[in-house]
Amino acid sequence: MRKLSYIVAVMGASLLVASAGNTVSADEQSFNASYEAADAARKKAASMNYEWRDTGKMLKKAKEAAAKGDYMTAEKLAKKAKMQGEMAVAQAKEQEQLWQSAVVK
Amino acid sequence: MQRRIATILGVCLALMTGLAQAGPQKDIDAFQMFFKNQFPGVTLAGFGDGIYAIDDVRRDAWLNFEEFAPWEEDVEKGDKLFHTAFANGKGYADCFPNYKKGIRQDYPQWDADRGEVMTLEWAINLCREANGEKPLKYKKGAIAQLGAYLTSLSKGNKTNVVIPDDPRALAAYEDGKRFYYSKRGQLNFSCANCHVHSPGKLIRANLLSPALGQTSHFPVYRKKWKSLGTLQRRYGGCNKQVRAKPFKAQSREYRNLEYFHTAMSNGVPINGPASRQ
Repeated sequence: MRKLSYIVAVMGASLLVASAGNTVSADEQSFNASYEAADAARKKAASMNYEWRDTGKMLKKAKEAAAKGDYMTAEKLAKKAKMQGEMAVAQAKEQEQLWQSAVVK
Repeated sequence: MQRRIATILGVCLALMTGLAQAGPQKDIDAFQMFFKNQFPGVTLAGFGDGIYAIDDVRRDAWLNFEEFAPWEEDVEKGDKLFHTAFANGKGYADCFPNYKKGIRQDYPQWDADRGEVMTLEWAINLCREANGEKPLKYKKGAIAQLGAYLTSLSKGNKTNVVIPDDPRALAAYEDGKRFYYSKRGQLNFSCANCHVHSPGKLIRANLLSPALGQTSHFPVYRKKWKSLGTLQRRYGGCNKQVRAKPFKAQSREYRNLEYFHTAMSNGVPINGPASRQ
């Protein structure tokens, strides 16, 4: 019984040590998700030939801020970039219908 | 019965092609009439002077500036480059045998073999690559100087972009037209917003130039650049200014845009290179 308790305690301690090395903070997880969503929006706009000028730069700055541990700034930039990507996609879809009305006839 | 069906189908196809061909020419006629109505004192050739055709004060300043035109040196450099043989002994004249008569007015043109719009700048680089030379960068420097030299030899020749009876050429033309009239970028502007619907209006301290005649004087010495640059250098700059990510110079998007844009100025004499604001 004592031997069993000892083995369980050692296993528990090992698990604790192992997981400590792989911990991703909640902030980092949240940023990663925001970044992925923003980059997906940017790529969608790019695939329609409608990427805006600053979206890529915003994402780059977001990563730089995250690398410094400034997750508040990083999240803000990622969200702004996502908004840009989504608006660019909406613009592309809208212009598919509207450009003809501007043509000189 | 089968012969009758084939004949009917053939006539329909010919009619549709005819209607399709009517598209670009109809666009050009409407476009040029639109600007003539906006600026009744300006001749078709006059539109090649851009804002200097619609603003006397700026025109006087421009004429003074052009007396010692900064692009003249670029023409001389372009002349030298053009007449310097490639390593294999051949030269640009082998690719452009009619250069002395002036060739700028015929570009861009449809390349049926490639199925692409061919600009003069791309043709220059294809010439280089065919003769074992590295291609030049597309926005400024040697490519602009070579373009300036060839443009200087084309002065007075009327812009003559041809959209042939080829559905691919028509598709490229329509693609360029769509680009021209589509709003883009965070500022949500199209080329047309400024240069069709607002020419002569102020944008900060500058005047917006009319789209008609815009392509006749490239490559251009732009005061902002303090150097000579190609038309597609300006496309990239304009796109950045409306906060759209620009396309690469000589990308299909910009070549198709140049195809439509230049065709609208058919009949306007080449008057480049020239200086602009």
